[in-house]
Order: sequence, then C-alpha cells, then structure tokens
Amino acid sequence: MKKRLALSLALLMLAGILLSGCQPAAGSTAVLRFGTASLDGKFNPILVENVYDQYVVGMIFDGLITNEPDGSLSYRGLAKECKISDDHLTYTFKLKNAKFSNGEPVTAEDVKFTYETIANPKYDGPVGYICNNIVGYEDFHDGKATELTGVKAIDSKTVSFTITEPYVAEEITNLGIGILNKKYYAFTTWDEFKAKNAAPMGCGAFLFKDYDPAQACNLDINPNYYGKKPQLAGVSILIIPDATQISALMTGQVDIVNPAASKDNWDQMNADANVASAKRFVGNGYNFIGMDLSNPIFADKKVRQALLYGINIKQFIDTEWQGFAEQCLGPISPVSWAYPDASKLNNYAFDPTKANQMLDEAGWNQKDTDGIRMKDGKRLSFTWLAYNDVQWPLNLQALATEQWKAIGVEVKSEIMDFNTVMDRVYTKHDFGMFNQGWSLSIDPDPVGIFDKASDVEGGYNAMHYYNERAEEIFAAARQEYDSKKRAELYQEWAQIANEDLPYLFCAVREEIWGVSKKFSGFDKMGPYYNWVQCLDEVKAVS
Amino acid sequence: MRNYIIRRVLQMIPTFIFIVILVFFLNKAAPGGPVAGMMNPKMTAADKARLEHAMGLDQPAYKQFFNWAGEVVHGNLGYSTKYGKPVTSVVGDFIWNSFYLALFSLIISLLIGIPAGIISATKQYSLTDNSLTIFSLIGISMPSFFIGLLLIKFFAIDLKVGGQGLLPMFGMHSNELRNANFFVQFFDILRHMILPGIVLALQSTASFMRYTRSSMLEVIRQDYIRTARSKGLVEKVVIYRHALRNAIIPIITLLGFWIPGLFSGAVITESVFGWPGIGKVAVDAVYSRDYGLLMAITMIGCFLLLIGMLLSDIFYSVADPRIKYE
Repeated sequence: MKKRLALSLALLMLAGILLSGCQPAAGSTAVLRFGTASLDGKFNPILVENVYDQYVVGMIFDGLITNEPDGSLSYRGLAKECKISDDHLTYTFKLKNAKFSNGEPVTAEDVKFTYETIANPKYDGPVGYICNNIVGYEDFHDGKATELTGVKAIDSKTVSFTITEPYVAEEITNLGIGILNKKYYAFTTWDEFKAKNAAPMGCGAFLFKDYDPAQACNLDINPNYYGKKPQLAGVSILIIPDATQISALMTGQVDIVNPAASKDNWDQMNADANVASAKRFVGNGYNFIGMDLSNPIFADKKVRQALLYGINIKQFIDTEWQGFAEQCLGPISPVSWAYPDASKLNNYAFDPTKANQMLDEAGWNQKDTDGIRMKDGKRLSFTWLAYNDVQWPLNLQALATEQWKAIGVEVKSEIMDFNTVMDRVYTKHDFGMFNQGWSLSIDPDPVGIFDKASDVEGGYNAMHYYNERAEEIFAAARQEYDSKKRAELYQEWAQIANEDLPYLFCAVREEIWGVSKKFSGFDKMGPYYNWVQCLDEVKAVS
Repeated sequence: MRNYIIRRVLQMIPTFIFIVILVFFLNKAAPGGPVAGMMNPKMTAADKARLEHAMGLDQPAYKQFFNWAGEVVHGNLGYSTKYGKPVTSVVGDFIWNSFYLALFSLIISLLIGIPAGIISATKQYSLTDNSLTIFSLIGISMPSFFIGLLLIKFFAIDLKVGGQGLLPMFGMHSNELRNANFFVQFFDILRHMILPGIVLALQSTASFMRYTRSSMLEVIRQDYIRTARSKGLVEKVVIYRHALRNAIIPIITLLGFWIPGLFSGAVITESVFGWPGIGKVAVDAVYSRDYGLLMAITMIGCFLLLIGMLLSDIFYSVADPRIKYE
C-alpha cells in the first residue's frame, strides 16, 4: 500500500514537471522576442557599454537626433529642427512636444542635465568624449564651474550647444545620446545615480517592465510616446546561448537572432521558409593586422606592401568566413559614402614572387641559414600578439606564419586574452605586430586612430602612423560642409591608406540576421540601421 | 571537540586574510584593466586618464587595497564595473541559481552513484560491475558541452510534445511564465533543471560510484563482516546495515569539500544551457577585469573552502567514533 502511494506520488510529480511546460497557445498579443547571448543590465544611455544593453537603451531612451538607414541625419528624434550658427559653433535645437513614460514633459533642462552628468567629475562611463568639444567642459569637470556653460536651456523647448572647434559631424557623432529626465535621475551621490540602472525611465517608444539577470528583459509600449507608436504589444530580450540561438528561432521560441556570419548558420536559418528567413548585409567595420611603424622592419612601406602581397587574404576569407566577408582595402567600409571607386584601390592580389622582389628591393636580400631574410645582421623576424577570445586571429596567424615563411619572414606567436592585448598595444605600446577589428561609427572621420595627436600613450595611434597629406585631409574634412567635397577628401584618404598600409587591411565582415516569418518590417536593417530602429514599422503578420 | 573547532576557526582567519591580499595584488599585477576593454577610437588618451581617475585605478596598488579593504570591513564590497551594480547584488543574482543546480545534481549523483557503487562492489567483476564501470568512465570522459548539446538536440528539439520540445532548450525559467503563481514557476524551474542537472551529475555520479565501490570492497573483506554473515544475518542487512555504515565514511568526508563546489558554478554547463549561474559571471569578470566582482567571488570561494574543510573534519569525527579531537 505504501509502495503504491509512493509510486503514484512520484508519477504525479513527474507528470507535473513535464506538463507544466505546456502553455496555452500564444495569443494575438504580438510581443517581439530577440535572442542574445548576454546582457549586463546597465540600462542607462550614458553608462551603457555592452552592445546588447544598447538595444534595450535604444528602445527606452530617445535622443535629440537619430539617423536614416543610409546613415544620414534624421530629425525623427526629440529635436524638431536645428539651427547652426554661421561660425558653425552653436547648435540650437527646438524640441518636440514629447513626454517621458512617467508623463513628465521633455524639456531643455533634461537635455542640459544629461550632458552635465557626463561632464560630472564622478562620471565613470564610456562616453565622456562627447563633451570634449563643448565649451566649459574642462572647468565644470575640474570643479571650477557649477554648470556646463556650453549647454544652454534657452527656454523649456529650446536648447543650444556651443562647441570650441567647428566639426561638421558634431551632431551625428556627439549629440544623439538618449536623454535622461532631470527629476528622476537627480542624484547627490554617484551610487544613487547608478542605482537607477535597474529601473530606467526614458521618452522612447518602449518602457521598461522587468529584467531577470541573465534571463530576460521585458519592455512594454510607452503610452506617452511622442513619435510613431510601434504596432507591437512589447519586446522581450531573451538570453539564449550562441549554440542554440538558431534552433530557438527555427522552433519558434524566438523571433529575431544575430548569429555569427557563416555558411552553416545561413543555411540553417533559411532551411524552412515557413518559419524564418535570413538577411545579410556588409557591416560597418573591418579586421586588420596592425604593426609598430617605429620598428625598422615595418617602417619601410615596401616591406608592408610585400607582407600583404605575401599572404593570400582571399583564401583566408573564403576558408574562414565562407563568402560572408569581403577583402578590406582601406580604413573605410565599402558601405560608406566615403569609400572610393574600388578600381582606384590596389587589392594586393596574392603574389609571392612580387613580395620576394619587393623585400629584395627593400634591402632584405641576405638570407640566414634557415632561409629567413637578413639586413645589416638583423633577421626579418617579429612577434605577433594575438588574442584567442575568438577564432579568426589564430587562423590568420597560422596562415600568415606559413605563407610568410615562404618569402623569408619569421613570425613568432604570442597569444593573450583581448584585454591584455589591448593594454599592451594601446596603453604600453609594447608590441611588434597585432591584429584587431574596428566597429566604425557612421561618420568616416578617422581622427582618433590615424592622426598624429592620437600618437600618445593611451591613444589609438599606437602604430605611430604619420602622413602629411593625410593630416591635412583630416583637418580639412572636419570643417568641410560641402558633402561632395568631403566625400572626395575621404576617398583620397582611403587611397593614401591603401597605398601606405598603416594596417594590413584584412576583411570587412557581413552580418546575418534570422527573422521569424511571423513578423514583417525589418527590410531597412543595415550597417547603419539596427533592428531597434526598425521597430516603428515592425508588425505581426497573420 | 569545542576547543578543536575554536582553534580551527582562529587559524582560518589569518589564512583567509592572506589569501585575500594575495589575490588582490595578483589581480592588480595582471595586465589590462576595465578601461583597456573600452575600445572606442573617439576616446582620447585624456578621456581614458579621466576615466581611470574616476574609477580610482590611477592610484598605487597598495593604496587601492587599503581603500577597498576599508570599505569591505564596513560591509561595502564596492561596485561591479561590468554590471554597474553593487557587487553583493550581482553575486546575489546568480549564486543561488548555481547552488540550486549544483544541489540538484549532487542529489541525483548521490542517489544513483552510491547504490551503483554498492552493487558494483557486491557483484565485483560481474557483467553488472563491468558495465557500470564503463558507464562511469564514459560519464567522466565526455566533455560537458558535447553531452549538453546532444541532450538539447534530443530532448528539446527532436522529441516533441504538443508542438514544443519535451524539455526546455535554454534558460532557468520560461519568460512567458514569469508572472505565474509559485506552483507553476516551481515546476517550470524543475523542468529547466533536468538537462543541465543530468550533465553536471554525470561526472559526479561516476566519482561517487567509484569511491563507494572501492570503499565497500575494502570493508566487505573485513572480519566483522564475515562474523555478521556467520551469525546468519540476511545478506541485505549485512551489506546495508554493517558494511555501508563503515564504507560511507570517506564519502561523508568528501561531502565537506563539495560545499564550495556547490557555490562556484559550472561555467561550461551554464554557458551551454544559458543557466544564469555564477560560473559564467566569474569568467566574464576575469575577461573584463571587474576587480570588485572578482574579489567578492574569490572571497566567497575561499571562505566556503575553509568552512568546507572544517566541516569535513567534523563529519569525519561524528561518523567514526574512533576519531576524537582534543
């Protein structure tokens, strides 16, 4: 009797466990579910770092301006219009009649508060640089002033920014950040400010509902949204491991995913047209091999060009990314308006004979006993610092080691984690060769990476690159207001870089996105326009 | 016994402090930092310097230690740079998830491993014994992500019940049920725990089985067992009442060392199943150089290990009356 009771209780429990998963069929409330591998939970537009957190921030917070799918400026944000002064130093924005999700109106004071918080000496987030150009930043940050004088709240719906140096891309680069409500985010201690990361409140199309760490974040529609209301009941961001994201999409547990671009993943997402389909587009970024140009080996342009001729980039791209990447020929992605005509760029097609010839011409024409070239008693040998957080650096390094050996170049490998490599390269300037990728912003201005002013410890010109004409272009293009002339300047820069090779440019990768057939409206997704920006047109299809 | 415990606890304190100091300075000595990972070309060297100053990272290491230690003594473990929340809050979010999963798999592995070990020992060299040995070897050798993905494929994708997989594919509970009542949520979590629990249990089941088997084999050979048999006792009583009681002693002492393991999370299993545990958080903290979080996790691990060792010794003396501490 006791045994039978125990057995039936056990069976009941088992049934309960297995059947509790059966849920009622999903109703007609269209909640879009996005699958990602991680969220940090820093849901604050001025503190956010993680790119997935940025999606959440993009849904909850709106900024003054935003951008169109082609990267051009758009006034679909909080600003109705912007008047720029003749000296290009003052930007005066008129705000729309917008409300935060708690019903409070969006005023110029809120805009000023947002930028003052970034300029606050206690601020420890990643976007401090957007205030660098604003008048009064240094004084406010150092405590010598009580307000950020460069940002003025002229009246409740008018705010002006005064910058110290004219910069044609100031708006799209620095003035689009999500706006914080002054009253809600007011703080006396910095810890108080950070505490609101868990309860964000903004004026965007969605409002924050709940966040279960490393599980899911749920957002509802903001009833007070000033713009076009999305035709969704809400959005859920689900944490799904990379390995199971596509399976989750194909079994209907998630509606949109962004797996790594590979033929396998692409085919899987296109396997059943009734369930989902995949999109692909070239991304706005590139991978490269970096070199210390102060090293006598790399200082010679001929050597750099020979190295690029000596490695079969096309073969690497085909093997590593199976058609989901193309060769990168300059520091600008082909999707950008600043990209020159491809015919003007050298594609350094694999040519070991030419590489050998160039290395001979460069003076590396003696050979050591093991076949490695020598010049003035020094071997053509260097250390390549790579990271193993992802796979491609190791594969590229292996291929290069083999193919460069054939032209008499020796590569010694040193492998560390990403953080250490970045520290060695940019903070300590202690490297010979390294590899990395850049994810670019909408504006192609390369100041920060290739200009002389960035050639300092901690700066991003760790290569010590300098080209006189390029410096002229950088300065001129930042103040060139004729878009056609500006494009020509950057196209010339791309050609200079293609010839000079401050980096050995490697590949521009594609992005692939899987979207469930249950939703439409993601057609505008592209390198400058993410899925969050598409949400005003996304709706469930019956 | 009481004096023994007090003495041990007093010994633990300087050990703990020493380990904390060592780990702190090791972390600071390692290259990189939270700012090195922020790769935005618009950030100038001056911006980075400002940021490091705001985070207190530009001070010499010993000063940073005293600042941090001063706060810790007042109960403030600092902020996580990665999650932007107090460290205690981050740990609290994840550590209990790891604990439940680890406890679940520990119970499974004890319930399966110990009986399997007993059977193996009583039927030594038989077909049963050999098959159990083979299974346990497979369990220990298979990499957890491989088994995990296989299980997911079979139970969550291929096997379907009402259009959905029999068991969930990822996560700790279903997002749709987040506002359901306690009963539904409890079973939902249990459902999600099955697959990762099995993966985790595979390794420990094998260990427990082997330990029990060898311990039992040793005990069965003893004279007092022969005496019990010759007294005419039923074999089951001989094995389970007399032999097992003595054989279980090493297992019990082992359990003390399991305690820190219950709270440290299992990185690979948690990553494969998307289980929100502390293992993945700890590894991520290393990669992003989140010093505050790293120190907190290390301190918890260290504390639990010391306690675990003490409990191990106490269990041993409780289980075996021949052992006495002064």
